[in-house]
Amino acid sequence: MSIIILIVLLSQIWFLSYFYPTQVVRRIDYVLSHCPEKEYPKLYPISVERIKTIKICYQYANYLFIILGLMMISYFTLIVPDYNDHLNILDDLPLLFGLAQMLPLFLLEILSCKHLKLMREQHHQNNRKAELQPRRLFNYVSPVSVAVAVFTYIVFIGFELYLSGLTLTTDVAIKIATVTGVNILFIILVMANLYGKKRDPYQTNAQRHKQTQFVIHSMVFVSIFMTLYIIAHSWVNAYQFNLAEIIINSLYFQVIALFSIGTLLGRFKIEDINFDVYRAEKTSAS
Amino acid sequence: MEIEIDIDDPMPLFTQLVEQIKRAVNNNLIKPGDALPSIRQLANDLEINSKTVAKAYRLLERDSIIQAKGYRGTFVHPEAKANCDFDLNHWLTEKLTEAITLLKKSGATDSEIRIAFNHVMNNNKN
Repeated sequence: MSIIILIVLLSQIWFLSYFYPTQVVRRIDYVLSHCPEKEYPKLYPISVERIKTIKICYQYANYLFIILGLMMISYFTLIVPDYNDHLNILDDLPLLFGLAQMLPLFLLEILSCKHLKLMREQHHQNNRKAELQPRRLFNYVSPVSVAVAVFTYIVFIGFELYLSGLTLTTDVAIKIATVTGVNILFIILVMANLYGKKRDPYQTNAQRHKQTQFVIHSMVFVSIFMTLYIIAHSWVNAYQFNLAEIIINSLYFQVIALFSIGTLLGRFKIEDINFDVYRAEKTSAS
Repeated sequence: MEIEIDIDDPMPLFTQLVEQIKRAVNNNLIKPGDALPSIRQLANDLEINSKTVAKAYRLLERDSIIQAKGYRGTFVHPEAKANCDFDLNHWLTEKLTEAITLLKKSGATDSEIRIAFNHVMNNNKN
């Protein structure tokens, strides 16, 4: 196995199963230690014990993927050193393993959605506030970024058609439909963030603005990068650059993680979040 | 600029919205030409039915406080501040009082006026 491939795969394991999960766990620990249930009951629609169990499961799931990843690399490096013997498996391995590595995070995201839903159900407020200003796409993201995303998409269609000799084969149609579908999903998510209901009922307008900006930025950059990835994938397939395919597949997941989790952790420093909104309301003694 | 509604207030929600937007115009918190949130955005933010917001916007548009510009959105009317002072209900009461006084002077009874009023209203239904 090439040393470059080895480094890229090790980096994928480190980033996706160790570095980012550790940061996520650190955030959970920070909230649990700085915001006790008694003082911040609004944060805990489920018990602290349950949250701790979820956190431990998340940690162990990531440790499992580190072990699996290292075993996989060892197998292909030490036992089967001839890359050409396992061309088909190795090509898609970083992609399939990357998808598996993302699973704990997806599950954590689903659980956080349920958590927020419970918070909304427990939140009963008679006085409701709203900003009297429209939220518009270009208040959150530059028109240039959106134009680049659209341009990349058009280039992708042109490139796919060029590779297939300007004929719309089933393969090309499936690729175009998939990328179009994912982009439509991104548009729906952006719309939901712009005009939809607040996921966290206690979130301040400033926090919401920051979160919406982050989501839209991520969607635009992930869309650009996903399209570039498909272009690169088609290119290495067309010209039989199999070694490059492994690297591209691995880097794809690492960049996606950087744009999504990395940016989230970098922009939303846990220390900067105003947790006072989750505090217990003081009952005035009359 | 924020608006706040109280769902327990006996005043209807659409009236609260109308009053607060008028107050914001009067206090120069929103100026002519300023964009307002879409019906869907405001309804979602306040967690109320979008029909309630639509009704408030319809009334404000009727009174020329706001103006809808198709897909571009809803904006504060250029003459919004002047129109805020105009109380349609007050004007309506004044006009009706004048008309009823004239009719009574002409000898019409209360029941005749009521019957005629209902007749005219029914005939003018769209």
